[in-house]
Amino acid sequence: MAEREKIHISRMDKCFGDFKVLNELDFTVAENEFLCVTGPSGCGKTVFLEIVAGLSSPTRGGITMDGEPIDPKKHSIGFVFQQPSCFPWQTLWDDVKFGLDMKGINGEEADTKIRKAIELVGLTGFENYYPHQLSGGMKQRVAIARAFVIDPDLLLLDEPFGHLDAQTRYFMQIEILRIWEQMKKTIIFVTNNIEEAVLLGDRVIVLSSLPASIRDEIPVKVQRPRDPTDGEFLSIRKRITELYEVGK
Amino acid sequence: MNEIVLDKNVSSFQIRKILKGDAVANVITLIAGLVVWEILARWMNSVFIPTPSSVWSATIALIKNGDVDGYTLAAHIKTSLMRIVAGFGLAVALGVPLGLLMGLYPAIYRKSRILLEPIRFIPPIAWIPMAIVLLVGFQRYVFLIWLGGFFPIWINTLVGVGRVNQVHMNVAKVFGAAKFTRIRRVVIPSVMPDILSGMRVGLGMCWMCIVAAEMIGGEAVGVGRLILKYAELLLLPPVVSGMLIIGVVGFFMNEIILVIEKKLFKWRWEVSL
Repeated sequence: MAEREKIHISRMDKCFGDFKVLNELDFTVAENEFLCVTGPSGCGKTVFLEIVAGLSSPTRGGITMDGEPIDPKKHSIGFVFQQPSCFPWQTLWDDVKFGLDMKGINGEEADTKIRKAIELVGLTGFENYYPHQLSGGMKQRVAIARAFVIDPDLLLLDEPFGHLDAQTRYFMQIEILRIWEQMKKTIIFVTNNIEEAVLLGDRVIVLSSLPASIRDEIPVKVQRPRDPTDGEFLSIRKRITELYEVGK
Repeated sequence: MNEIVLDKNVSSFQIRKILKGDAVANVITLIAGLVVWEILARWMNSVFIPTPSSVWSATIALIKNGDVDGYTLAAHIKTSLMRIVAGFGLAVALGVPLGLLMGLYPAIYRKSRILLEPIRFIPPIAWIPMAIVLLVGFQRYVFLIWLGGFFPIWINTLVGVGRVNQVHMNVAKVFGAAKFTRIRRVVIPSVMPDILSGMRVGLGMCWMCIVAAEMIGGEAVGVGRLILKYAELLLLPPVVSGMLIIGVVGFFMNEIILVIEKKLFKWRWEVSL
């Protein structure tokens, strides 16, 4: 794996008035790394990701991508939101096209990219469907295709499978790994599901409860495809669970 | 993938089936309404209570021979419709952009609501004397109709902007969309259903206003005037004729908006209410 530093988060604090949510987060993400961030629910994971995406700014500290302060207008960032985020007034095709429109890519080039992205998430044939005609898992795959189609430098996923049933979730986890292995992107994947974090990540950052600070960084060296019943897998999982409990 | 998908053909087939069933039911409802009316009219047995048949012949007479001043029903409808189209058009042309503006910049609304909100509560009918003093002819009618239509359209748009899903806005922001692009690609499509429902409410208000305005205004033509003319003569069948005409024309205008809604909002299959 390439060790070139892609994202650098330096001593980042976030406060809402007197209410401190993030406390001195400081870490780097390597190029093409699959980083999972986990922590107890309500610990500010979404706030953290929104800052990385440039949707809100940190109170102190900063974040750079390739050495420059991160900016959605300059950098190419893909974001898959926790909540359903497909535009209800657009067909699947137009929804995936949205990001390319924003980047000013159109015509034949755009069509090829859209077709490829839809194929990647296995939705070929559904191009003219509206979100209300799709299941929850399919909508989330549309959101993933939409984030991937712009060929982002950084992909942020905020508990993207949180609303899905266990079976769909399992398929989606396999799928996101397949897409990542195929396209090689830097990914920050936020989840409160420890097993998911260990299953997917090259490394897992465990956050404490509020105000969130880094409790530990755990590299996951288990060979992919990972078996959740494998001894090493279970020991990492146990270690993270214990870190959760320390926080209580 | 073992996922359930609503088949498009199935759902549009079902919608068609429902509409077809509704059409038959509506014809039955209409006939039942007429029968009840006829029974009530006969039971009350008064020269002032028009029956469906007397209203029908009064309508035919109005179409063929015109009213006491010689204006045909078509002339009355045409005049009122033109006033409505102008006033309602103006209400849309001002209500939608102002609603969007104040929704996007709530500070403008917050700082001007002391003026706007009380005006909203003045019934357009209460403006009639002032309208008579300030304006003449066509302009007066347009002003009063505009007053009726503007506020529902404006309020609906304003409130709609506030309800735009923040996740959708964030999607656009993460892609680096500039503010104007976000308005065009996210805010306006989100608010369209609210605008259309504001238009439907506004249209009803417009008809309310035109009739009142025509009753008080001096001109001899217009559906509201037609009603008043025969009311003064105590001839009720043509009065009811005028009332029903307003209902029917309003109904068709509403149907036009509904057709537009269905075209625009294929993505919302619950809109057909």
